[in-house]
Amino acid sequence: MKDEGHEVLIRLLPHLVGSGHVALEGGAMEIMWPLAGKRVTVTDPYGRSVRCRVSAGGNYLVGLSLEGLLISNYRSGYFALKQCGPASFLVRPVSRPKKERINKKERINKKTGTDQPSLFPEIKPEEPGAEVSHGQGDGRAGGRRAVAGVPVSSPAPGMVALGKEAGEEELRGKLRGKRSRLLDTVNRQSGEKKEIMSRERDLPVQKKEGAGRTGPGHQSAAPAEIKLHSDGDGFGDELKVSFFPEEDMAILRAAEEKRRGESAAADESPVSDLILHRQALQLSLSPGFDRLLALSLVRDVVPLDYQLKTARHVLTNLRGRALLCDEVGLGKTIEAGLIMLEYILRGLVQKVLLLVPPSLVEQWQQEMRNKFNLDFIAYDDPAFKNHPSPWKEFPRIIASLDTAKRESNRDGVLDTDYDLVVVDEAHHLKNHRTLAYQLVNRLRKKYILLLTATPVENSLEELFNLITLLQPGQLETASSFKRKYITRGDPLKPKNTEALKRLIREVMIRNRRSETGVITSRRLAEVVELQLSDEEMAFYQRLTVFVRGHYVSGFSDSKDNKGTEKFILKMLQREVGSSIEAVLPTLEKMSASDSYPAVIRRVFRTLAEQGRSVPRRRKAEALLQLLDGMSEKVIVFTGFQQTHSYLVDLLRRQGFGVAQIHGGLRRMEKEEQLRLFAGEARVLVSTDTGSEGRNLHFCNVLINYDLPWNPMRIEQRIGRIHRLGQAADVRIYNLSAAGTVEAHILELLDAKINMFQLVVGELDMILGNLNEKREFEDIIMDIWARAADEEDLKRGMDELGRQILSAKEHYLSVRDLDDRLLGELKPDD
Amino acid sequence: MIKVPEFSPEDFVTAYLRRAGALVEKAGFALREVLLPDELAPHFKGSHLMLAFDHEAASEMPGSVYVTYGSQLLDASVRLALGYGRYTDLYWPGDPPSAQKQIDRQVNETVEFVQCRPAKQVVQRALDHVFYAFVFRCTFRSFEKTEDTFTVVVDGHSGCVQPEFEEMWKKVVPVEFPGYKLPSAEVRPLEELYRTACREAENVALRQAADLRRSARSALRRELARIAGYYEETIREIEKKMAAAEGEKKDRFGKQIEAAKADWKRREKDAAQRYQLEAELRLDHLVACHLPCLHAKMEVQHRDRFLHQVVVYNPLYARVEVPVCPRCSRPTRRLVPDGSGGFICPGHKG
Repeated sequence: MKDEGHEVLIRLLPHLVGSGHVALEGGAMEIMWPLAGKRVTVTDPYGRSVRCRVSAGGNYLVGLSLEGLLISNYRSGYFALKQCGPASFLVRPVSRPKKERINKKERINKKTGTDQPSLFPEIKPEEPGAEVSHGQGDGRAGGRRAVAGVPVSSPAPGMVALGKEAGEEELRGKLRGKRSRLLDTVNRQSGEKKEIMSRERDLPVQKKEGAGRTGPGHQSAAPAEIKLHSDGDGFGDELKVSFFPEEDMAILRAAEEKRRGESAAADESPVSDLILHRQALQLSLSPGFDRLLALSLVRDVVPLDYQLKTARHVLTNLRGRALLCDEVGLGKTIEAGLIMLEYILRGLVQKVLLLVPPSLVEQWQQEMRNKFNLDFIAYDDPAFKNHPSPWKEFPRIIASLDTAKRESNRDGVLDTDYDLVVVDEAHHLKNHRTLAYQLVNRLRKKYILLLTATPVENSLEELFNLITLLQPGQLETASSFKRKYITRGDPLKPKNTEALKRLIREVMIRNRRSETGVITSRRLAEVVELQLSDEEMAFYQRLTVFVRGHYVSGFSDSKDNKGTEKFILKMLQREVGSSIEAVLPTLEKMSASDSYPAVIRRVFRTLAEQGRSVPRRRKAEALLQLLDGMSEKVIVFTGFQQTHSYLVDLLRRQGFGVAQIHGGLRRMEKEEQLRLFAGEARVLVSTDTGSEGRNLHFCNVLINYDLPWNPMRIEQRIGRIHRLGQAADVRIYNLSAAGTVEAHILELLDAKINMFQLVVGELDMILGNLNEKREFEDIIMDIWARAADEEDLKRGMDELGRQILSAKEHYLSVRDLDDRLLGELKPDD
Repeated sequence: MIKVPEFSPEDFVTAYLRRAGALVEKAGFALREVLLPDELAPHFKGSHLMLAFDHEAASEMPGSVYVTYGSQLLDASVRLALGYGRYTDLYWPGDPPSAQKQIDRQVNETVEFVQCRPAKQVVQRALDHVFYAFVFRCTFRSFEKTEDTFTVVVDGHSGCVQPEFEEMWKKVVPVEFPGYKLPSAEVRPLEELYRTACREAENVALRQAADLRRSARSALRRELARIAGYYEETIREIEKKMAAAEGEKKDRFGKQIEAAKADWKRREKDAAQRYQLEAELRLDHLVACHLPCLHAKMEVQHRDRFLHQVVVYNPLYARVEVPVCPRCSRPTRRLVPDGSGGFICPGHKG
């Protein structure tokens, strides 16, 4: 055989694709001529062989399988053929030779489109010298090429399975032994063997396609056939239908090979593979908005019917631009989160900007993370601050409106394209002359959600401004809106309400508590007042004096430590408010720490000794008494682990069936304790964090053994049992020791604003209306620590009480106004 | 084509990893320890993984990878698992159908042999037919992205689309390997069947897109009208002010009008783009459903000649299939002699 070992070129001609003929020219014809009419074997670089026939004229190799083999190795249409036996050849893909020109016939074919099956476009050779990238392709290349370095019917990375028994045994050995070292050794030893096995076994057909929920930036393989269907009325309603026959061919070829028994994988792809494929398909599809993908991803929350309806309505009918005006506490955050997640999962949104009041930044961040698995970076995060162009760079940002509108940030904020902007407490945008309004108006955004329970405060024009932010022109211009829809002389009285309703329906949603039937049971709160024993009170007061004495000045000279010292003092005050057991470990730790002056350490030591010597626990006695007087299941909440342990121990000693839950338990242990509480245990002792995300509505009595200084924490405790599904009225008992900070907090929250009767979310609205912008617990601590005497303390607390009351009144008046106005304008279903 | 049981991400990921050759062991509540084969390791950034399928379990196990909807690991598994089962053969579970006793009556009820005496059976034999179920993945892109799959079944023998087949096939429990051994009926080239399936898939996509197009069109019209109304009004108001202004102020109003016009154009373009509708159709996988059918050779007397026609009895439908005209490949219930010993549909006569 002449030319043995010499490589010659063969071509896969575009017009012959599908015919099973591969052209032989020049040197290739010479090699093949003696074999005309005979069968030969061609093997590709992956070791796959196919049998084909040399045409009688010796100018073609004939066989669909050969064509399949070549296409699966396709780069440019050219292949090097090398004889390695009397009737066997090796073939490998090569780039287009530089001198090659498109011949006349091909040019004609190109022009006329003849000789070309309509669904199979011409396969264009690559430009001279161009190599196909074998890295992570951009996905725009033809179907098969789009798979990074993986030939169509060759084992794709990750698709190659070891011979079942041998591979599994090998892996099992690795898992049992010292993993990393053994892994290396075994891999080295078995590398060659596995390669052979991988060829023999599983060769799934792999192709790149629009799998997974791809983002807007996703680039799929270029379609080979596009058909336009148009009604031709000039409203951009063309339907472009694209096919990808080149990609699809891989599957057809696999089928053909299998049918002819030529495929190495002739007996592969059993039903289990088909089921696996179907499952993967189900997971990768983005169905219509009727089926919300986000629902399978949310956690710690079960979206309610009206929230789901709202999310669907915004996605489907309002096209992602909406004013969500649900009444307070109905879960606008959940609705916005669902909409956001849905868009993200479908690849319609990548860049999100959340604009919220400063006090809610952390809460939003946590809710998005915990409930929706979405991480947002806050504007005060060091990574954000240190980045040269953070607004552009980070995909999901949470910031306050004040921060975003600041001059130093404004350009960066405005110079970015956002897919979705969410503004919480959007009533801050009611005035179109403010910087905040103008900033949001100028943001480049695809979707926008404005969240507020009180869109109108002084005039209907405020509603106009908000809606114009969403859809300029929805309510026409300011002057025509005034003329058409506001009664002259009364800016809060709408006219032409039917027309206005119709327009508002297209952008606004307002769910009302009375219509949603969210939680029908009531909250009944009771303060259990008690007097500490003399020893307890003496200890409490001595510690308080120490805290007051050092809260402003600190106990060391260093200014750097002031913040830490304040934090420690606040912690001591909170702990002693819970129990002596809670404060003792801190005192002991402090007394042993070298970081503090000896005098201070001595005080800590003395305080600890005094605490240890206190014989009785009046609060615990009150708790036992309370429990004795009731027969229902009860949850006892405390904010401190030491108090928690003490209570569990005490209650068990007293013969109560006790379940316990705290942050230190593992998931399974928590579930076990909850089962115990649902079953035989009568009391559940829980810390604040322990029961997060747990639904305990089978119980309706709650005892606050200590009171969190942050009112939102109190809300969260109550929320564990006062939630959907709670049929009975919820009874809340607050243990309050006279003369303690907690007693003052209770006085403020319960007596002044009746917080236990407020609906979820209202407390937040009221505290948000305070002129004071600090956290509530910091305000309290400041008043407490700075008070010169009881009178001074009373004055301070009264003043705060007045402010809270006034904030509540303001909130209630705005709420009533919005209720009336939006009730009047609320779209009919 | 086959019923997919309910599954969780944990079921799916475990099944996929095992299929791909990984060793997967339960390591606690919602925890799976995984050792990957070398080929798979680059896709999952490591060969030894601790997978958590519950967020609390994940937080309790440092170093574990939390797998849930939308997580990278699940997406990677989905992407890779889509490579399996792209082509599958499924077989009719029972025995081949026994010879039909009243085939003459059935044939004559189904087909009218024009200008002929009623057909009479000559012989019956069972052959293995293949019905190709082309499962397409269709992606609609407009103001929203919607994906769906639909199946087009094409009879490999006749080349006709079989709209009822999928529903009927769901009633049987197909098997991986045939319990019968029969010669195969002639099968048309797969590419031809594929093209037929593509044509049908396009029709299905158009039907499915109709609602979407309608709503997109009316929403776009509404939005364009609203945008126009808003900007016209705005410009009119500025023009009114401009008419009363002078000098620098007038220039400023002029610039405002220009800005409003530019804004108007931009918003119109944005809206048009947002509502543009596209459909992408890809063959996702192919299932070959093997079904033994009876071929009945019928004798038909036309004037003084005896002609023959083969008709197919489909046991899945329990009926004789409508024959296909050899000229146009379309099913027809009326056959006329073609003058050369065969039959064609009346449309091709003369």
